[in-house]
Amino acid sequence: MQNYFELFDLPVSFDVDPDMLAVRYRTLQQHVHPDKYVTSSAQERRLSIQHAAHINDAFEALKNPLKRAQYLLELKGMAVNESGAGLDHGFLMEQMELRETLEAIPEAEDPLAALDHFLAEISNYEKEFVETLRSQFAVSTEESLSQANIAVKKLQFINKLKEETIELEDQLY
Amino acid sequence: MSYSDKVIDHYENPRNVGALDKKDQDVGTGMVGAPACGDVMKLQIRVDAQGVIEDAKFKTYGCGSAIASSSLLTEWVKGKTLEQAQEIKNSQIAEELALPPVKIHCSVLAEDAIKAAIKDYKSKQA
Repeated sequence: MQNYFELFDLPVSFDVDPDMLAVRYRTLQQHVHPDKYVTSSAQERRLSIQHAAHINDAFEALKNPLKRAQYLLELKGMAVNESGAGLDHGFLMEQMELRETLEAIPEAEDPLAALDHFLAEISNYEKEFVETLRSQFAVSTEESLSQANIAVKKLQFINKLKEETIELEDQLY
Repeated sequence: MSYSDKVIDHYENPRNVGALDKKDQDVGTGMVGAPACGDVMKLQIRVDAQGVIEDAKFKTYGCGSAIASSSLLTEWVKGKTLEQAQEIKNSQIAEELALPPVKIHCSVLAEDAIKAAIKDYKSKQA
């Protein structure tokens, strides 16, 4: 089976042109659109649905930097495991402090301003780790891929933090 | 998914939440995290001259099972020697709290945390 990059006719790389990805996605989806299969056999219809689902999975995996990095590492035989091994003490300490800051936001003098400020801070971390991934994948040695592996784990923490921040935002508004 | 009564009890009334001064010579701090769910756990122990854990504190940001696992562990390690605490297995925590298979990793996190705290304490004595 083609890998996701091959399916979208894109180079196997962390750098994906989002416009190109969107264009290819639309083209691929048109080919498997259910309307095209109204007169086909049940088996053909079933296959087209499976194919459409595969295209959607691929699109989601390539669109999102975290998922893209996870997929790339998987292709390179270095799939990210669930273990927290390799995370430095400083990073974990920082995560703890960020959680404490988030927890204190509802009691802040101006919670909405504090929330905006916090979201901006998270977005900086996000950019930093995506940038790390970009540079490590550009090198793509075994050493740089294991660094990418750790950056993926760190980005997972940031994503979770972002989810919780957005949840709080919903509660405050 | 439903939590067991013991998990709910620890979640609603967590024991030993707080912090010890990590700069103290007799305090060991363990920091661990689970990337998949974004949980972070800090577990601290204060050890007396005989190598017995006289106090333990934790702070966990995570799901109910992660909070319960660390809460239970702080109760268990108090009064134990470092060697005894080192022997605690995640399976014992999982069993006591009746954790479902998808939550076993929360008890692993707690085991990792106490081991990290013991290691940190020992490195301070060296």
